Amino acid sequence: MLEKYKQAVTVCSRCGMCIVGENGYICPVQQHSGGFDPSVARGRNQIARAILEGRLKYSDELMESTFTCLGCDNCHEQCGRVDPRTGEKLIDEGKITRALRVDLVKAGYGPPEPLKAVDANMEKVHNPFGEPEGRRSAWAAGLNLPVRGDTVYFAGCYAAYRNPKIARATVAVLQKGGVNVAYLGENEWCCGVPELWDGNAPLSEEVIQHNVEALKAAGAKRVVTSCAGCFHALKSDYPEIIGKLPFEVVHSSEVIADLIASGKITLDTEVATTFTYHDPCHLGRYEKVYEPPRAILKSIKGAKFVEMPRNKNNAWCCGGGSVVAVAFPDLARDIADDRVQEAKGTEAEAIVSACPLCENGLTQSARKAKMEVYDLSVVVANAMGMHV
Amino acid sequence: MVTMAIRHHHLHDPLAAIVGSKYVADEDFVLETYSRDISAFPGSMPGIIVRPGTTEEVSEIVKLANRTGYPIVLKGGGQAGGGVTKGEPTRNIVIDMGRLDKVEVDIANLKATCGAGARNSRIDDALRPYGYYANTVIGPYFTATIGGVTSGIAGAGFGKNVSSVGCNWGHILGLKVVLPTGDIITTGAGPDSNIYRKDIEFREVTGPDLTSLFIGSGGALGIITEVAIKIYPIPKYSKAASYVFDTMENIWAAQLKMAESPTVLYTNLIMFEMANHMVRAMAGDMHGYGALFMAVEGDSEADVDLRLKEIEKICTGFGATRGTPALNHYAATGATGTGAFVHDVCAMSCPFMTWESMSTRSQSLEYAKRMLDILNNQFKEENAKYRTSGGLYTVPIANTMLIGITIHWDDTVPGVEEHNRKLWKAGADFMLKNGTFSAYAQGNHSSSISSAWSPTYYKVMSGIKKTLDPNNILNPGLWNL
Ligand SMILES: Cc1cc2nc3c(=O)[nH]c(=O)nc-3n(C[C@H](O)[C@H](O)[C@H](O)COP(=O)(O)OP(=O)(O)OC[C@H]3O[C@@H](n4cnc5c(N)ncnc54)[C@H](O)[C@@H]3O)c2cc1C
Ligand code: SF4
Ligand code: SF4
Repeated sequence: MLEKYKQAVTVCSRCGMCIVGENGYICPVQQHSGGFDPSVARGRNQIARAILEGRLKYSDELMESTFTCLGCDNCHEQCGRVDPRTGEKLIDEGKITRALRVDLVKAGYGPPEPLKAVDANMEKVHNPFGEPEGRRSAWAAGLNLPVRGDTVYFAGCYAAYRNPKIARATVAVLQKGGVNVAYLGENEWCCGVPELWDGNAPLSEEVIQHNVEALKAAGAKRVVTSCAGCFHALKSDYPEIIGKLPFEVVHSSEVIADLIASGKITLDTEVATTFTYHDPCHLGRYEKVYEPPRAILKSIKGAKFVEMPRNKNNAWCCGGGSVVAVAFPDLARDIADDRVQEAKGTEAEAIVSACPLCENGLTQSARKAKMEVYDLSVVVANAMGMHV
Repeated sequence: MVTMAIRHHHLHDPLAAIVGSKYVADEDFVLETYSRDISAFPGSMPGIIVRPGTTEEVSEIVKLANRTGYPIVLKGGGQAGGGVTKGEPTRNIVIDMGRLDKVEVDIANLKATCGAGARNSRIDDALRPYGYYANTVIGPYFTATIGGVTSGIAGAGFGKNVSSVGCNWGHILGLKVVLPTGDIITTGAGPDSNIYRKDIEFREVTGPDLTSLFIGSGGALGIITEVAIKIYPIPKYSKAASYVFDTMENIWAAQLKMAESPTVLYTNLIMFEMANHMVRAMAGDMHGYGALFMAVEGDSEADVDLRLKEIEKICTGFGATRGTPALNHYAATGATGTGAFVHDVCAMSCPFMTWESMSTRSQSLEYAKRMLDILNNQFKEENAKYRTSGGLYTVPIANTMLIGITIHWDDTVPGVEEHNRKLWKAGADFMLKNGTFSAYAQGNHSSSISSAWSPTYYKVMSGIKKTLDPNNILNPGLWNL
């Protein structure tokens, strides 16, 4: 698979602009590990090139190092290597890392042990946690959601199994705004993000095929997700892997911001809190959705909004990306601590994110720092006077 | 935390005892990433990499190297264009200086004391809240380290004010250096120097100027671990201008005329040929031989405007027309500034090899033409075959003119690197015979520079090297010493 990126890794100019930028250091992994060059895009591209040119062999150590990348896309964002004719970026480090992981796994190296368990769960019960399939729709109990409709809410595994409040809040807000929301029930499988990142290409394709068929069968014209990871996977990875989709994919923050702008909902229950917003990498850098969550937070009655120094396209990852939280939990925690300290340095009392994975990753660190972390949908529901 | 499982280099444990095992790596894939710079010069595979966090740790590493006979090679930001130091391939201990990145700001004494691994942009990041800046570099602003710039390029490099204040050596107050024996010394007034002070304080210290010995030395004589630099208040007003000229003669005449002006007209002035792909893209419908980019700074807007007016008079006097807004933007943020723009420009310019040297002002036009002749005529067919191209740029510095030609290529073309080395050598031979300075004091290039040294200069330098580095442990082979 790496062969596909030969041109990209060969044109990497070794300029190192993926190490430091206008907002300081770029790679969270480099800052929270030994800091050697393989952690950053410059190093990984040289490694990939050496492999493709037959100068370097796979090893367990290389596998381990490659699996520490968060896929946070910050290096890709900063890289200035573009096609001079089209202005398009030439080096998509996330894709290169994923391809390297696929080839490593194919060659018998990895994935790291905790990810093997994730894969086994996925094969058996189609979620990374190994939870019974029958429990997937438990969050929707009592909501009487239809299983067919134009707008289908894709909850994702985190909201379904770990933080049902997010799914319930999202649906409640959308319904209040007049959106008829359907869901897939137990027919929803994991979006495939773990497999896209853990080198298991065949399994990722299988779940992608399944979800697309399920969404088609549900009559979806628009799929709404409240998880940044699911959102990017469905919106960009799915069509790249299996071709054009017959439905549109949107993030709940985009829909909610539209509902506010059109006056269909108002956030008029006072919330006297100073919020800051953590941009999930898969919503921000990958899909360029920066403004809707901010617009939402700014429209909450009584609330104040402040930015962290590293925000939008320069935001620091929560540490949980690309299954690093599963494979290297200590590394993920260090990076989350770093992000929470940044938030703590502002006058914010609470961090809001628009991804259950970010919320989960930041919560432990925030507890130590005596800060709160919320998902955007829950904040919105509260600001509409709903308690989910 | 991430741990690497296999440890196969026998210096691993002793080095880990100095810096902690997290900061030692010897896996093949890590070594690969430390084997090259941004040029087409062949790489040199290290034996082991270590990332020390203090001067004392650097000193212990050097002492260990002396005891065990393993050579040391240095890595700052990896922005060298003259090749990495060959040392002894597969045996070198590469010291990655990146963890020595602290910047201490001392406004009362107008200085910043920077760890050698601090990236240039990080120094300004630390100074900006106080309203100050440091003279560092333009191009590798975000990536190169202050240690790598001080040691790896002639005159300690040049930054966005070079045309008005000269190369960086003059802004350096003193250095902390680990000598090749492991001893620690401070140049300038400071601890471990001839006049004891707690911190590095003042360059003009009693006795020979040791600071200069290490500037541009490429790391052959010592490892810089701290650089104390003078800092300056950020000027209140900064404007930019660009002009497009029809002929090489006119653009030269305008540059020389402006440089002669008794009032300093600009903080920096850079000339690029219009053929430069970045300039071409920004020039829109404008055509001509080349463009001048100028930054003008000052504490009063009237003063800045006055100087811009004089610049305009001189440029239009030589037939120039004002540049497009895009060219002006480049003048403000790219060619003569530091910022995101430079960041992107660098990614697009690398990999490269460069003929960067200086010529006396009076001979500079002829000198540039002869260098261009090598690029455009002597290697015309081969350059076309390998899709190698190059572009001229100039910067007036002190009493000379810096003439640079960067050679660009597409790494995907088979055989291109070998061709580039051949091409580069032809230009290097010319500039060593005819130039007054050759910028990249690094790896392969240092050896070609030293081949042009006079026998007496070589004798003095090898005497100094032998005295400081009796076991030839530090960057062996650099300068052919
Ligand atoms: C795109 C581009 C644009 C450039 N533009 C400019 C410019 O505008 N102005 C300018 O002045 N230069 C410019 N340069 C040159 C650059 O500043 C030098 O190559 C510089 O030496 C790079 O520093 P580094 O930290 O990357 O060092 P490295 O590449 O890591 O090392 C360079 C040399 O320095 C030595 N070295 C590194 N650290 C130390 C240390 N702590 N103590 C002793 N020796 C050490 C090494 O042994 C080596 O010989 C440019 C380079 C590039 C690639
Ligand atoms: S990935 Fe981009 S920014 Fe990083 S070294 Fe390569 S070209 Fe430069
Ligand atoms: S994607 Fe993020 S974690 Fe991975 S190399 Fe790039 S900056 Fe580092």
